[in-house]
Amino acid sequence: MARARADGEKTGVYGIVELFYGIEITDALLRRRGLKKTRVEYVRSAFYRGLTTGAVYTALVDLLLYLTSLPLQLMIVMSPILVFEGFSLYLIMDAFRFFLPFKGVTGPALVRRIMRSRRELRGRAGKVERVKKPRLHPAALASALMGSYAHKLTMVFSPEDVKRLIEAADVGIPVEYYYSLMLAVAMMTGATTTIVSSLIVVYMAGLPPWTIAVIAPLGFVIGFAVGLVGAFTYLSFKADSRKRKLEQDLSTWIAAMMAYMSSGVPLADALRRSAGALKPGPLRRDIEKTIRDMELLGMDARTSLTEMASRTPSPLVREVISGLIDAIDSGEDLQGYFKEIFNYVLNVRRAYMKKLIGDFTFAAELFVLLFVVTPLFMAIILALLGSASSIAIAQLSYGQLLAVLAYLFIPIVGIGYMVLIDSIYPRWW
Amino acid sequence: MVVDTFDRSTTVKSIAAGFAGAVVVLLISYLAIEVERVPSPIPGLKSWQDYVVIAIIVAAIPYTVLDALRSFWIRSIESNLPRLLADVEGMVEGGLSPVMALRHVAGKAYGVLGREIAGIVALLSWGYPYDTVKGIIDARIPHSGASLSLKLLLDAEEGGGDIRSAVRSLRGYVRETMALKKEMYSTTRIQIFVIYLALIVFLYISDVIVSTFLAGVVRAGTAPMGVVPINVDMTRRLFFHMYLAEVVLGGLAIGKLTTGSVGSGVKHVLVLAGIGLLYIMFFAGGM
Repeated sequence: MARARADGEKTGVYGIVELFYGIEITDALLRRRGLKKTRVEYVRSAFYRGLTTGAVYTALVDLLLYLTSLPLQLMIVMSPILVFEGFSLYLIMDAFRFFLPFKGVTGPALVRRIMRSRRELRGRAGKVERVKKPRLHPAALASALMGSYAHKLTMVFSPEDVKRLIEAADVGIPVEYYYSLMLAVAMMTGATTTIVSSLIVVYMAGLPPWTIAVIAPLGFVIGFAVGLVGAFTYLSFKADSRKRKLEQDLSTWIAAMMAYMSSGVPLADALRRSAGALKPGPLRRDIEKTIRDMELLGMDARTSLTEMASRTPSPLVREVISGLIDAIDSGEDLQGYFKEIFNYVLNVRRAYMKKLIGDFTFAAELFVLLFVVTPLFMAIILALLGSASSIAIAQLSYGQLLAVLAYLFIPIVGIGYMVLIDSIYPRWW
Repeated sequence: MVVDTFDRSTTVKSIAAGFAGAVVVLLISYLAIEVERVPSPIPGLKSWQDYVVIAIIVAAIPYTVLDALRSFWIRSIESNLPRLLADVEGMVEGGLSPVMALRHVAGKAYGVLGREIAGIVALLSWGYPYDTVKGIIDARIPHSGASLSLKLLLDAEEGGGDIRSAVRSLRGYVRETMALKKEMYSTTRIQIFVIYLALIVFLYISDVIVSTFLAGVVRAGTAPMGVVPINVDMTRRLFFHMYLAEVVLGGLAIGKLTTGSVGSGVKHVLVLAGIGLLYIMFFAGGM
């Protein structure tokens, strides 16, 4: 701080103030903030104001400590530290005036200004309008941190598989970045498992602390592996979810295309209008991409539809689009094609429904087995077993065992049952 | 009304209201029965823990009402849409433009759909751009068939073409989709009946086990589990709580089976919990 500046003299010891402010105080800066002092005057006054605050702060804290019967020697030792604390606190608070957007306003006036500006920002709904700031994508951050190690994962997860899944899931992250993201997720789960397993070992299991040396690395390896596999499985899950959403909207889209083609609208126009008829979702996005390829990138309808068929994860959608390309190639009547494909999709659904009847019957039988037969059977068996012998589970009373059934077994089985129904239920209603 | 019913915030509010009601019921029952020692006004429900069934019923009521309103709206749309499309097709065939046809059908009795069309026709007569009206249709009519039909008619007004055959193909789509839906409902009806029956059987058998088998064991003096004797009242309560857990999960599962949405299972939770309450009050002989 002792170096000379163009806009004023040296500040000497008072320059320490600028260390707390984190910025160089200049005459121009003070003028911009509406302060009528020179740099040296301001720094000196800030220094003395800081010292005064430190002294007052020390006096107050010492008084409190005296009331709590702290030894005098200890208070004397602590006083310089308290002075420094008060001094630095004041300067840090004072530094805010250079970062806030209001000139020369401090204290209660500053609070009033901030509140007023918030009120001005409030809309009729009473919400503060916020401007979304651009933020760094987690995958880019992961790549910057551990991009050089991520390529080693290609030995375990083939780049072709990852690329295919990324495209099917429409995640929008380059393959290299996704490898880095997988590594970052694995590191985080590994670290979490290490901490949790160590805590369990020491505090819950009551094992000696040296066992952490064994458990922590093991926990890290397990957590790392789970994180890695989880990040890879996430892609499959996302791709599957996208596929189901695509198939859900397919019949509406075909119906819209059928209607627009019947009214004599050209293919590109029908595509655009049918996209507008769909609710926001992956199929609408895919069709909009195809229209963009045709209208902005100058692709012909055949090429852009081929691109759409290649990137879709749903075999049914691919079949419909491939059929459309064939119909365009062969000069077939597109209205007739959409009518035909609509009936085909309906027949596929009818066939699926016949299979569903069996699945639903199984689901109902499973419900009876899990929720009626099992609890009643267990209730009787436990009662009979308990009266016949003192087995290991006799550590729990009959009531406690029933409570385990009611509050643990049934909820867990019920959630599993819901997941099962969710997996068999068609998505296209 | 329509927008409010389908609004996400309305769903959240109804769920929150239900939960708040349930908490209030539990709190009042705890304070009255456990703290103030007031006798329970409902026969069969002795402890404040038995009032969980009332709490479940109270929690389910707001969402069930909302779901019923939504179902009524959807059913009204689905029953009137094929008729509306047939009428529009006839008018277009007779030489009217699609918007003129809509104006004519707006006054007729098409239930909710008629009211929505009247609103759309009013917007068009005020000179709203077609794209804006399409956006409003999307927001106000959350039914893919109905919104697609109306948007197609607006597109046809703009772009022309063979509107009649477009409307006819759309009518075919609506008819086929609804037929498929009806088939699906009739398929799942038997499974719903099985689940209802299973839960009622559970309620009855658990009561029989407690009042005959376990009570007999206690009378005979052979305490199960060798160590701790059976508390018949507590066992009965545990069985009832088991039934309630099954009701919540089974009811939601029925919703998932019938419509694909867990939310529509809340009404089954309400009905099944009501059956449980009636059973406890009138048939179980007191808990």
